Amino acid sequence: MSAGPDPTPEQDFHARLATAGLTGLSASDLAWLRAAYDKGRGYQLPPGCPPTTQPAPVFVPIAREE
Amino acid sequence: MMGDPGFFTLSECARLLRGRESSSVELTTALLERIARLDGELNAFLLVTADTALAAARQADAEIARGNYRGAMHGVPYAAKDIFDVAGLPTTCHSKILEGNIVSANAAVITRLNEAGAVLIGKTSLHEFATGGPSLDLPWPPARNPWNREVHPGGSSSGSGAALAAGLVPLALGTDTGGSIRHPATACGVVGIKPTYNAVSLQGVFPLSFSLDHAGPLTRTVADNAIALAHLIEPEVASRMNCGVGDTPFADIGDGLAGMTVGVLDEFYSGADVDPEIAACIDAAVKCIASLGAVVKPLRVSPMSAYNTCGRVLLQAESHAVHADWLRARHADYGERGRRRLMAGALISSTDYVKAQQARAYLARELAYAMRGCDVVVTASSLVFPARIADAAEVERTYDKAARMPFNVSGTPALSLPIGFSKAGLPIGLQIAGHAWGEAQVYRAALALEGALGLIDKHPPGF
Repeated sequence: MSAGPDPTPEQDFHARLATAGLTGLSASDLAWLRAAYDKGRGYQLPPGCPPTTQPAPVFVPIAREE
Repeated sequence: MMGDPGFFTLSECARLLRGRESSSVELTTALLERIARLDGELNAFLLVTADTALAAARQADAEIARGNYRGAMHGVPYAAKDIFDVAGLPTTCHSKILEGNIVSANAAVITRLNEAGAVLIGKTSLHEFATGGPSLDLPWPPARNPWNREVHPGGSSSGSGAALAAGLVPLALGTDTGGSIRHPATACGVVGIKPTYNAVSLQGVFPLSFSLDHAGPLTRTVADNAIALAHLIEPEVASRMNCGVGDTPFADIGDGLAGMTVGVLDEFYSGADVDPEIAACIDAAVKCIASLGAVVKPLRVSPMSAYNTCGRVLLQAESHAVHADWLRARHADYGERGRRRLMAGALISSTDYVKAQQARAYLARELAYAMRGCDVVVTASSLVFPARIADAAEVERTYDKAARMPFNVSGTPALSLPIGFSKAGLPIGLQIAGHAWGEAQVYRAALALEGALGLIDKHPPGF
């Protein structure tokens, strides 16, 4: 099965809203959300953070090192 | 009863009640009168529970008269952010979505305070669902700052901060997902702590972001805050926190700063985004900390943006998960600011969410490693002064200019303490953060600095 071309950011933005069932939004809401999408797209790990760091789905604070 | 009880501290209330120099009914009545007289211009309260408060106060007085004094909270009035469930009362989260939502059971912390004999006097206003505010398009108006009614009192626990600063209660409960206890504490010139993650139960608290949410107390003094937290924490974590009971539940918090090592996260408040008055005030506080005998040393960690971005991704994704069904069916019933912030989580990919959880583990370890050898760290709370509520663009511009999210990401305790005022008369706060379960050290440093600065008796004009 071929994956096809990657969606453009515009296509991806609208696809995500549609998947969440968010329809009928005002133009100003859409503009605000598009800016948030552009700002947040493609989260990058902080420099030095190894890509295999164990995720923390239920966070437990780290005990103080004595 | 001597004086106006509006600015009695929790500790003073406890002393008066224990010694039967005042009754809970007298204190509660006096605060209800202040609320009736002053809250019309503050909107700190969404609901005032006068009848049930007076009934609880009468019960407390009768118990104390019989010699059944339960401890420092017995008969003391307090308020809770309208995100904590109280049986028989609405929990609205300041949103039309939950208007008329009468709940049948208490949040765990409300039960704990009931058992301690505390008197709930009302529920305080917030940003819609603890995220979208201050907003003028909700069923109830936003809280105002007692230091300047035109400006934001911080949030999301806005009413809790405003009620304390105005002398309407000695204790208010808040929640903190990205700074929502410490922001109003800073903006209103009071003390607020976000304790270690899971130290205070979130059962019966409407969620915003399950892995970042914390609950905790706001008070006017550090000593009061320690007493309140001791009554809120889960019993099984008390020993881990080295926390007892009584008027000084955290041993050694009065030992002063001498002998402590204080790290300074100065890079968090050294950029162009920082108001120079705030930076100067923090620098003066750090000098004061050194003059009180602490060893002060700079700390280096990842840029604050790494913590803030990580926290934002987690918060948006998790909060959208809570609200997804309502956003589909009733998005017009949210205020504009809350609706947009909650919808933004729909744009977060699962890949980005998992990466943010990976980054979180790394950043939490990085901070713990940097803090080795330090008892606490200090840094800014707000980087700018609160915006005028009527200026939507300025509210938006200043919304995230703070150094609070790093400690939600790390899950470690962080307290905001008033350290001064701007030329315009607005409070300035300092964050003091500790190791996981290191609240005692945070309180120790904060108590010493609070004593040296002598700001406890400074109240907003007109209150």
